[in-house]
Amino acid sequence: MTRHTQQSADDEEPDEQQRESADGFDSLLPGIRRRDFMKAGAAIGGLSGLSGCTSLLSGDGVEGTASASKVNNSVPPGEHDEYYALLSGGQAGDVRVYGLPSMRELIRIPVFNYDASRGYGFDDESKQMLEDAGGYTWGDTHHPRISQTDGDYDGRFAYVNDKANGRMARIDLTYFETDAIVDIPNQQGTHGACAQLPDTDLIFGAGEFRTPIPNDGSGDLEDPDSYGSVLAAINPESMNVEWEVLIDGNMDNGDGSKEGRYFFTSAYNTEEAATESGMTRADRDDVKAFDIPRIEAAVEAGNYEMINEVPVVDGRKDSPLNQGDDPVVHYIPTPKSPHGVSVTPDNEYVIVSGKLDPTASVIDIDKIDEVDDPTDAIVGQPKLGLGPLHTAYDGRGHAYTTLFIDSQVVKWDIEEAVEADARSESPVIEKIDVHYNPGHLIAAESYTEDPAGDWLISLNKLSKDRFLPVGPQHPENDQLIYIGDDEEGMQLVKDSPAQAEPHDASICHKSKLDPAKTYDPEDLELDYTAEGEETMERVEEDRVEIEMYSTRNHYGFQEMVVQEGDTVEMQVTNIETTSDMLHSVAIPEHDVHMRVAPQETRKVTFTADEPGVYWIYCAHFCSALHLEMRSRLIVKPEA
Amino acid sequence: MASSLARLTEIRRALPLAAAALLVGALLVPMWKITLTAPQYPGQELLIELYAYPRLGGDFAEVHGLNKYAGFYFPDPVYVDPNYAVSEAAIDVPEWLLGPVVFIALALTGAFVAFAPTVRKLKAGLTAQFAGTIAVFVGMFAFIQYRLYQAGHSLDPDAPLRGIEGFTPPLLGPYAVANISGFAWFGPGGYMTVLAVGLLAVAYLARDTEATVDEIPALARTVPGSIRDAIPGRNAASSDDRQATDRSADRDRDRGGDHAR
Repeated sequence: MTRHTQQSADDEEPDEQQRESADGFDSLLPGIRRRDFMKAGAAIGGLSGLSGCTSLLSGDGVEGTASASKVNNSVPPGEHDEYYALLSGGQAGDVRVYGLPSMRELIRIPVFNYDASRGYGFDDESKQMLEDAGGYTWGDTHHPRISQTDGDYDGRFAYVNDKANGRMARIDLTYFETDAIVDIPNQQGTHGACAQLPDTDLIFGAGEFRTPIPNDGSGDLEDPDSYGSVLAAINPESMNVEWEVLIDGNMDNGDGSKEGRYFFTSAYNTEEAATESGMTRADRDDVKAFDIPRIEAAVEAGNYEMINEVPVVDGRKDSPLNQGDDPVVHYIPTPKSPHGVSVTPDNEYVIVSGKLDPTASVIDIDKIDEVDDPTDAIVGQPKLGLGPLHTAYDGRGHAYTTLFIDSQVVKWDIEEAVEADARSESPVIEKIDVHYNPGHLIAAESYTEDPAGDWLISLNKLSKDRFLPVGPQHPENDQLIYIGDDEEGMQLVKDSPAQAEPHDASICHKSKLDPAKTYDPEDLELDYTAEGEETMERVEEDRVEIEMYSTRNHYGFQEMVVQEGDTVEMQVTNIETTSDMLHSVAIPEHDVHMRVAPQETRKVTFTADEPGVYWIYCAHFCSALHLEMRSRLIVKPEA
Repeated sequence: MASSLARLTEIRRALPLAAAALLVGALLVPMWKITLTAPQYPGQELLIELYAYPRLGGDFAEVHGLNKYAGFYFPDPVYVDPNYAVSEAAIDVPEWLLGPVVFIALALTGAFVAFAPTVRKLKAGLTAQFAGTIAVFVGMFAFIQYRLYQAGHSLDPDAPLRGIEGFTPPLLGPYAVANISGFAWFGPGGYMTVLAVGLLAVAYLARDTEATVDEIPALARTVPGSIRDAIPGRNAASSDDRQATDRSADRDRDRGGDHAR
């Protein structure tokens, strides 16, 4: 969207920069805007590359800009980053929000985990949501993807999968909080996750683990041949599973074509084996190209079997729906146990990384439905290095692929790969060492139709010697790489330790998100309790309902007297209107910590089963009288 | 009677009427506002708007939360429940209730003067009203400033925070207390009031002329010339200027003649 204008601005930058720096190191002065500095850095990088063969720069100019030519990702105190990065938290079950380029962790959004700092899983609503989603205390997040409209991030939602328990969650990006989770029927190991583009009409979860379907103990449990794996299509608004497609083999990662026709998944278990050696036997595994309109037509026509209340379309190779010229699923054999799959920003190709083969396969999207032999759709197969896993884009025709085994990121030219012979290394432009064993990588806005092309994060699985030792569990290492300067090449900028275990990420320009600073009471289910409207009522013999407010520096009730054994429903509104003036309701020895942000109303239900006095207190440091912000819960013993 | 109504287009009669309208209108909007900034509100100004009667607008609830620490409270109008919470320890300012009375009284006076039956009474009325209005507002300013002093020096000894010295917020201008910087200034009602006083001043200055409001542009054009003429040594100004001045003087004379009839 803005990249081209930014590009041209960058193009014009050198003269200006030269002028500024020639007379006094302007670019190094404190207070210069971050963006200017970055652009200056990019421009100087470009200039330095040229300076050898032109006389553009005087000696002074080179001198003055030399220190600025090192890419600098620091964001001065008080200034903001350019990008939000949403990184999966892996086993932590959350999503981490980073600012880019500083790589500062801004906040973590709990998704499948409990987080007392945000009261997530403690108030009735989020507790119920986690309960309804299976009641697990953890999840394994892999692929946070931001919703798009017209092929660009719209900042409304992010979606993320739980590989551990076969779930998909939605994060509301107005409030940066999880607002829905679906426990996907008939699917175990929900892995690849992405949307039907360009308008996020469906969210897809790819089933990695083959199981009996339904997996309820019926059928043959011993024979892996009788297992299956489904792709699940989820309505992004209702978060209900609309339909599923049963396939042969399994699925790994996924990405959607930009115009909305296909959803692609990689795979590593065409063998349908149950052991490592069995799964790696075949030299090729099938990439699946799901033809969404045809699948929807099949559902419409009633060509499905209802399993666990979800219409399941048979997309296996021998399915009647796959005979003839209009298959619902194309099976494209690619070498070998391919892992990452991602569509190029121009929607020309889907690139599938070989993982156990040193190539990536460039599949021409338009050819998929035209060719008789599905492998004819593979129009390029550059040899990249050992263990190619995932590919990201800069919008300038380059692809960046992680090489897990080589511990490198390789930059290569997509069109060159199409021109060159299969297994040629000529498309490779350069490689950079990363530390160590990169899994995913993500470039700024790489999943949109218009990547920004400046920053890239390599999410490395091992850090080994890169940080102070902290015991046997080493942090992971998210490395920031600057890719905005094709002359200078990729530049490693920062190591950033991360708690295990980040997988995928999305990077979105800050202008595309509009987070709320306080709650809008209209957006919440519960009614607002203003000062003076607080009530405490015994609604049943052993049930007390409390509705009160919190503000600096007190709660609506200074004391609440209940009887031993009472169930207490405590609903609290934070009536503050000032941003960042959080309060909470911490109840000792009752496992309660309910956060209430300004204008937020939450409710917690607990049983007062131990007589005594409990000091309810505010655990978010709110003000000078924070410690005095307390209230007594008095639980009287049964007579 | 038509001529009596027509007379209302005279500057000296129309402006007191306009001033009266402004004074009444000023009651509908905040008279006075205080903007507060503090480090804990980055990029934000807290605004308190005060009306001519016991009513606050803006972020008064938030500011009340801050004031509590120091024991500095919004005043208690005693006889009415205002739209904000009144602290037990607030100073009593019952006269705040009388604000609208003063404004309406001044407005009525303006109307009364505008309809004065004779020029002599009109002139006397304009003089008295202008002087009276000035006196009322000066007195009111002084009294409010006293109340501000009183409020700033009656910090609640039971307030939680120590180390805040008594202070005097100005009626107009900047001040600082604790880590808060304040700036007090006219609200829209204040500006309307200033304009009303200005109109009364012009009416007073124009008390001897029957010029009507539609002549104001022409009169305004002559003012620079008159000023030049009034400067010694500038009488050798161009004849055009002199003619213009003469014409204007003639017109004044003519009107004087009408008036004499």
